[in-house]
Amino acid sequence: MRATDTLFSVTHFKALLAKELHEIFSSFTAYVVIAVFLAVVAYTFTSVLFFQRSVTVIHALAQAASLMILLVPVVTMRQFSRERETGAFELLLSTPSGELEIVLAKYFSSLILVSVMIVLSLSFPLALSLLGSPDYGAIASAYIGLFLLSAAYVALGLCVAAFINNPVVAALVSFAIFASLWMVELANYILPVGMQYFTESLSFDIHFSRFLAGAVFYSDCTYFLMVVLGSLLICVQRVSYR
Amino acid sequence: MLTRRYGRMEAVKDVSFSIPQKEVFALLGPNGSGKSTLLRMLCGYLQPSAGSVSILGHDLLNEPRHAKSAIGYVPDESSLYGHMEVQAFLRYMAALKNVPSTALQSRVRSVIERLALGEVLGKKIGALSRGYRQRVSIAQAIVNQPKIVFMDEPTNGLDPTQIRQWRQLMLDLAEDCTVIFTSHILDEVVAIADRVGLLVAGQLRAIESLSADTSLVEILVRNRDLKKIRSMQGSAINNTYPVENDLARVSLSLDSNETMPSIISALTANDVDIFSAKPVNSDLEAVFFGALTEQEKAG
Repeated sequence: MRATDTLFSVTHFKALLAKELHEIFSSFTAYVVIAVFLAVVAYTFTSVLFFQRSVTVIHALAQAASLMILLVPVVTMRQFSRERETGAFELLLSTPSGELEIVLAKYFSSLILVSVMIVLSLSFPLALSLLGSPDYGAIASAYIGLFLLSAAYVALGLCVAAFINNPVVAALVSFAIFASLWMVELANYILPVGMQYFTESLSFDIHFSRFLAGAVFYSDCTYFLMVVLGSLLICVQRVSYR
Repeated sequence: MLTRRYGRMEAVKDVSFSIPQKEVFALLGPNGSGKSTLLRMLCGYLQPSAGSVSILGHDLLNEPRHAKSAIGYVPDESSLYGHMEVQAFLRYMAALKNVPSTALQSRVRSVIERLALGEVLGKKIGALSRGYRQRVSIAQAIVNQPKIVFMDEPTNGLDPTQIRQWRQLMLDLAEDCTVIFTSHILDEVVAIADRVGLLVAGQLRAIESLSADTSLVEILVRNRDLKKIRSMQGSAINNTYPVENDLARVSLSLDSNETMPSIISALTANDVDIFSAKPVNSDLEAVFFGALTEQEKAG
């Protein structure tokens, strides 16, 4: 009987992920990204708390979602370019590891970094719980939304990085795509009336704002997950095309 | 018939050959002849535009994991993870090449000993000398005990001592596995290959077995001495080919009553500086220089 190849190798994935995580967390950029994220979110949180005297993290999490538009491209832009520049990608693809494992390892390493940022921001609702009794349901919903939104951004950013070798250009293109998807509904002012449903369905802002309002809809979760899946599939196709 | 196109250009065109186990096979050709493209298709990095590659009965396109498990690839020495430490890199490559976790440590230790990498284990690959980087590259290629090792221009940038070490290593490797390497240097190919495939403009023009044919002598001389050689009585210049640093490679046909030492004596008596001299395979030499001329004419 003829041996057939497996679709996915867990052993390869673990080795690839370990290496990607080591690279990402041994880079100075990762810590700068985390620091900027926490500083800006902390500023919003304290401003709302002390100046508006509002005991909520929702504003800070809305700020965090906007920040991801700027920060995720910085995380994903070098995911393919460095290996391509040095030629190490050639070596990697001559091993039995498949394109799917390679892409998923890069995706999860970036997502883990973004998740660390999100987890560290949990210190703000924790501080709130010491001051009073915030709406934990709304906070949980907002965090679910922030995680799904970030997961979608990371997948899109990785997909862009797979197509564009120059990291700066990849970051700029990612930023443009993220910003467009965030506020695509603004195009309603110039588009014909019938197009509203289409733009609102695409808008990251509209999908995320429902999570911020404390409502977790199946459709919003599915939308972000579809973006992740679609981007990663395109990314795998791009890496396979040689 | 393996073909690779980039747009309209055919970098490799209708190439077909098979290599028996434990043979040292060289892909020889001038720069830009498609050697590296062909090698990259054979090791699974590039996908052919047409045709297929079979490695130990496994189709590289349909069963890439099985096919790639049997190979080791030594790319250009710069194509490594320069920021990784040697030991971490070898462990990483071993894991990707299906070395069982129980055997991983011993396999890595074994290639470290074989390639004498003990002194540089904790150093970053990017900080190593060219010779060490080449050894690391070979170490990662053989860590999975492959049946076939591919090497792309393996002696590029190595000094003469390192080239000699590399040749010895190549012969050692050939005892256990098939070695396929690319080169544009005829001497290198003649020194170690069992057979050679000559690639010109993406097409495989000939496959030659290298026998001990000593009807030609190849010497390396200064360009300015070419005139002296031509003017010598009875000299039979077969071909000349310029190389770097104002040097030229000249092949001279030997008469039945001539030997290599007698030719060298005659040349030195005429004040010709000889940088190197060696016997070469006349058939291969003729085909190679013919191919070079052909590729130069084609532009």
